[in-house]
Amino acid sequence: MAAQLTDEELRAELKALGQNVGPVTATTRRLYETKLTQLRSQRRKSSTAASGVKPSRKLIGFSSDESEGEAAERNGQKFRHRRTPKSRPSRTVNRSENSHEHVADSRGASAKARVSVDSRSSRKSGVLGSVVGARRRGATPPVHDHKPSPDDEEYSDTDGDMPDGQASSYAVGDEGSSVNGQDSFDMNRTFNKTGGDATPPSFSLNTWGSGKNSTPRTSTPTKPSTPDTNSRLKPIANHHANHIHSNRKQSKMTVWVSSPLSRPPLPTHRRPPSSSPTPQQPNGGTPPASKNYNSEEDILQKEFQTAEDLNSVSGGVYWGQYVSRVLLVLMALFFLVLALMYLNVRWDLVTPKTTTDNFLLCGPDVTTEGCSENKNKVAEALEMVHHLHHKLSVLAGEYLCGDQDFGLSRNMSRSDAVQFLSKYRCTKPVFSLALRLITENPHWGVRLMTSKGEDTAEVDAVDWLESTQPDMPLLCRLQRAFSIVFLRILAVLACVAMVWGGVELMRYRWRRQEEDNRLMYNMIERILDALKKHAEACRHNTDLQPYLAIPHVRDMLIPPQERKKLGQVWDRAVKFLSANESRIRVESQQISGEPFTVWRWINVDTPNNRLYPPINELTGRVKAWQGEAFDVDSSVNSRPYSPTPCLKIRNMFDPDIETGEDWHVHIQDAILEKCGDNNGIVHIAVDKSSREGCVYLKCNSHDAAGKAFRALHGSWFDGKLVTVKYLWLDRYHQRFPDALHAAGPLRPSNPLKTSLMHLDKVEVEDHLL
Amino acid sequence: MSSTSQKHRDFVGEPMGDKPVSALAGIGEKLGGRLEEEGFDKAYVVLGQFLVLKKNEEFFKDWLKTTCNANSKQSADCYNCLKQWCDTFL
Repeated sequence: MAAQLTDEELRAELKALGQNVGPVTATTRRLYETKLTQLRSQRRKSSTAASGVKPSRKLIGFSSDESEGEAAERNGQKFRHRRTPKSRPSRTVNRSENSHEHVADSRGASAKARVSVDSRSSRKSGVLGSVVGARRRGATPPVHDHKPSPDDEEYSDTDGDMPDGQASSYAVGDEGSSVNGQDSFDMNRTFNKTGGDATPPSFSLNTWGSGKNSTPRTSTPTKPSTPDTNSRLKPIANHHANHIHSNRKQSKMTVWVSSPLSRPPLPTHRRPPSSSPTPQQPNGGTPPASKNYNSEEDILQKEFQTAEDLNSVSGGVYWGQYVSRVLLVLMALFFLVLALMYLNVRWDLVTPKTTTDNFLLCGPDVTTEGCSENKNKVAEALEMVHHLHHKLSVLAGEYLCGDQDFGLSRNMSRSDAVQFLSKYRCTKPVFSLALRLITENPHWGVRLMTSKGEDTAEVDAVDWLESTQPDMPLLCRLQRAFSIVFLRILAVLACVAMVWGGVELMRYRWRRQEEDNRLMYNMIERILDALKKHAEACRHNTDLQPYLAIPHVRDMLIPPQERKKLGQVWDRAVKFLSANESRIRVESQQISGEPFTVWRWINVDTPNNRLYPPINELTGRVKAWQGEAFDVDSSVNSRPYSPTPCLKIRNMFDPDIETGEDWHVHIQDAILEKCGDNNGIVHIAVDKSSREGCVYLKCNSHDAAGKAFRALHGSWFDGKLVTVKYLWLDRYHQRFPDALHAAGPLRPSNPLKTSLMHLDKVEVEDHLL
Repeated sequence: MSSTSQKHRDFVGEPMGDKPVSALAGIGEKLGGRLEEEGFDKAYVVLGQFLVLKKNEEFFKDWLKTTCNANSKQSADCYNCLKQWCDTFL
C-alpha cells in the first residue's frame, strides 16, 4: 500500500505520524516506505488499544477517512468565515497574476523535470521527480472541476476569474493561502504540526529562501493518504496553496520561484538551519559550522549565567525559608516585650488597690489612739490634706521639670505648709489631724520627714513634707520619656560601636601583620636568591669573594626610592635570616679596608634550588602543570581553525579551597607560562566566583587562540583536567568590556615559571640560571 | 578520548574534495564497491544522501544498511564521520 503513494503523499503521511523527513527521492523512497509501514502497524496496534481516532484539530488524528470530511468542513468553514469580511477583489487579481506566474514556471520546469528524471543524482531527481509527480496530478483538472467539493462553492468568487480549471485550483489555493496569511492563528496552529512541506518545490524554496521564514509550510491537516481521487486532489489544492503561500510570505523571494526550478537544485551554498528549530544565531561569526554553534551558544548562555544564577537561586532558596520565620519570631518577641513594659509601668492599675483609706474615725470597731469623733473635723482635715498634696505635687513637678535655679526644693517645710494652708483657714488642730491622717495613709503619697531628711511617723517631729507623686505637665513627661529612651538607645549603640570598632581594629592589625610577614619572606627569598647567584658566580669566577656584605645586598635588592619604606622589612628579614637560616653564615670581613658584616652562602647542593609553586598543604597538590591527558592536535574535538579569538578555560581551580589574597595571580601566571611564547594574549580574567574554576582569555588573533587552545586543552593542572572552549567575541566583550581595548601581549608577572617546573626540569633550570 | 579511527580523523580533518567513497570511515573496499555500483561513487554523493536524509541518524544508517549491507558498526562509523565533517565544515 505504501508503494502506491506518490512521493508527496508518502512524505505527508510520514509527517502526519510525526516524522519530519527529508525529500523523497529515488534513493530515499524505499526507506521511507518501510518506515511508513512500520509506523502504521505500530499505530494500528496502539490505536486499537486506545479509543478511536480523535477528530482533533491536530494533524495526528487525520489519517482516517471519517475525520477527513469533518476536517474539510472545518477548514472550509474557516475559509468561509474569514473570507467574507475581507473581500478584496484587487488582491485576488494580484494573486491570480502571481499564481499565473507560478503556473507558468512550474510548467516550464516540468519539461526539464521529465528529462532529468532518469538522472542518477539523487537530489536532482528527487526534487524534480516530485515536481513531475505534482504535474501529473495537476493534469487532471476535469476531475477536480466536476467534483462537488464544499471548497469549490466557497471559492466560487474567484472561480470566475480563472477560466482554467487548473488555475482554479491555484486560485482555490490562493484563497486558502490568503486566508492563511490574513489571520491564521488558528490555521497556523493546525498547520503547525507538520514542519516542512510535502511539495518538494516549495520545500526547496524553503531551504533556498531566506531561512527567516520559519512559519510552517504545511500540508493541510485534513488530507489523508487514501487513494481516493477526491482526497488526492484536495491535497494538491492545499499543497499548492501552501506553495504559493510560502511565496507570498517571502515576497522578495518570488524571484527565486522560477530560478530554483530551472537550475539544478544543488544547494551549493550553505543550508540555513531553517527547518530545524534552533534559533538563528545573531552573530555573523563564522558561517561554517553554524549549526554547531547554535547549540553551543545556548551552552554559552548557560555558562555565563551559571555562576550568578546558581548563587542567587540557591541563596534565595535557603534564606527565603528562614528569613520569614525569623521575622515572625522577632515580631512576637517584640510585642511580648512591649506588653511587659506596659504592664510594668502601669502596675498599680493592674493590681487592685487593696489599701483603704484610714480616716481615723472612731467607731464601734476602730479604736485607734487619738481618733476623733468629729466627722467634720476629719472632713476638714481631709480637705487640707488634699490641698497639701496638690501643692506638694506641683512643687515637686516644678522642681523636676523646671529650671534648677528655681531655688525650690522638693519638699516644703512645716511652717511653709502651715502658711500655705492658712489660706484655707486651717487651724492647728486640723493641721495636726491632717498630719496624723497622712501618717496613717502613706499610700496617699505624701512623705513626712524630719529636718534630717528621714521619714517619720511622729506628727510632732515632722519638719518637711514631700510628695512622692510629682505632678508634671504632659510635655514635661514626654520630654523626660524621650530623653530617657534616647539616652538608653545611645548607650546601646555606643556599646555596639565600640565592640565593632574593636573587632575591626583587630582585623586590621592582623591583616597588617600578615602583609608585613609576607613582605619579609619575600625579601628573605630575594636575599637568598642573590646569595645563591653570587655563590654560583663565585664558583665560575674565582676572583670574587664568596660572601656578600649585608648593606651591599640591601642596596642591590632595594632600589633607592624604596629603601626608607622597606627599611623595617629589611631589618626584620636580616634578623630572621641570622636566626633561622642555616645555609648562611654571618661573618665579619674586611672589604676594601672596611669591616663589614657579611653573609656567606654555605653551598648546599640541592638538586632543585628554585622557588616552588605554592603547595596546598591539605592535599599536597602543587599548582603546576603536570602533563597532557591526551593528544590535543589529533583529538576528535579539536578544530583545524579556531572560530573565535576568545577562550574559556575551565577547571583551573576550586574557589572554595583557595586561600590567600592573590591566588588568581598564580593562576594567571600559570596560564600565561603554559602558553609559552604566544605573544597574542591581550586579556585574561580569572572568575573568582565561578564554581568550575573558569578563566577567560582573549587573544588578538584566531591563530593565537588556536595555539593557546592546543597548549592548554587537556592538560593536567593542580590535579585537575583543564578543558578549553571557544567563546563568541561579542559575548566576551559584554562580559569584560575592558577587554575591548586591551592590546599589549600579556606576560606572566614573574619570570620564574613556577608552574612549569614539573614538566621539564632541565630546560627550566637552565633558563633560570 | 573516544575511540575514533585514523580514517575518521583523516576524513574529518580536511574538506573532502573529491575523495572516493572508500575514504569514509566504516566504508572499506567491499562496501565502497557496492556503493559505487549504486551510483555513489564519491564521498560527496554519500554526503548528499546524508544531507537529504536531513542528517537523521536512524534514516542514514538504515539507508546504508539497505544500500550496501553495512553492519551496524560500519554504518555508525560512517554516520559519525559524516556528522563530524558536517559539524566542522558545513
